[in-house]
Amino acid sequence: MTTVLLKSMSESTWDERIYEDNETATNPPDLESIIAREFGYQRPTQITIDDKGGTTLGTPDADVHAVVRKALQSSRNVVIMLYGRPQEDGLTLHCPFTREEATSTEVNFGQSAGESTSPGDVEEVPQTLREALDAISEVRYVAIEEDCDEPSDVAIANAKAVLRAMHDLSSRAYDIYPMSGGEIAIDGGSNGRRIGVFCYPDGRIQYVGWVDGERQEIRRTDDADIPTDFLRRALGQLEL
Amino acid sequence: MLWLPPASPPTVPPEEVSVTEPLARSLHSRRHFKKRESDGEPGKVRANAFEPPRDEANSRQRLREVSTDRCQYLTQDKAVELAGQRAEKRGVGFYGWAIITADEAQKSERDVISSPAKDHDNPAHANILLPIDTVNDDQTRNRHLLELAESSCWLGYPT
Repeated sequence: MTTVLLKSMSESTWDERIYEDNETATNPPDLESIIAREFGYQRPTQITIDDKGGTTLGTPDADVHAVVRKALQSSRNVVIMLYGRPQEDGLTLHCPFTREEATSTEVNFGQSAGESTSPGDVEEVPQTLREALDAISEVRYVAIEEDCDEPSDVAIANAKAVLRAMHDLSSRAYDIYPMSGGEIAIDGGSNGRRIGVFCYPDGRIQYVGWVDGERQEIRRTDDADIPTDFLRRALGQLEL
Repeated sequence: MLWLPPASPPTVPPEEVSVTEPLARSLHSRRHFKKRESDGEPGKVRANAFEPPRDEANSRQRLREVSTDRCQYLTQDKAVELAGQRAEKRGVGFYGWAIITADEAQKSERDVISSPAKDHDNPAHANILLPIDTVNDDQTRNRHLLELAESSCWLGYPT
């Protein structure tokens, strides 16, 4: 039995469905059929595996905005994330990777070299942090969909470093999204009180939050000096 | 926050925008807000919902104007119609509004200016005017955008 976790973006929330299928080593799960059946996508669309082990999606139809991300949670689980909306006549996502590729521990799309996780690592990362880190990895593709400038590698690396520091201080869920200039926003809090961190394509990082009853801001040129005291106090304001 | 319909049929709005007026910015991307996963909590408007357009004459600069509609002088049906026109023109969807009071919108040296849009038959259009230094300074601009988002409520459509 193979477990396939399908996550689709719908109305800004993740919709998760777990599909289980009988398969053998010589008969891997037909992911195309699974996705077509679960999501109703019909139109063939090319997906390729790039040299970093990730998947990229060829979108012959400009209206088809979709990016597929796959990563391993264990040797027998595959995670596929779908973005975008199907056309009226649907969209088929064809996943050409083989079982051997899918079970390779080197396959970790969206992560830089040396950052790949083993199945054991995945289990140790708290869910809120893992989801936010995944969102940072995917923000490049979200940006492309939104016609935003593409976030740089340094912006993504900085965002992950800052997010980990913030999560160490407060394990709340953080909202991750791209700005049009290629910045990555890490947004905590809700209506009324926010903490916002913007990671810029050139490496700058901007921290904005409420501290001592007023809005304060810190600007850095890189992630070498994450202002943890500022973050702690600003995050503390969100708990009030 | 509920839509505040006019007490009487829409009239010509006064040129000056009252501080108590709610302003509605139509949202044309589902990435401009976040629905709450638990019931009963309001949705959250993201900072990117208030990004002004690039300056066509200089793509490295941004305009200062953030387009909104003055809720008190529009029926919700008319606001939906206007948002639909914008969506059609840009080839995007429509997902609701970010609602913010003029009072909050004009804090931190921002301004709110009545700006009737004759081409769309919308006398109730207004711009939130960001400070001049946001044209070139992305960090100052983003601080303002976060402030606007923080002070806003998301009103989904269809409700």
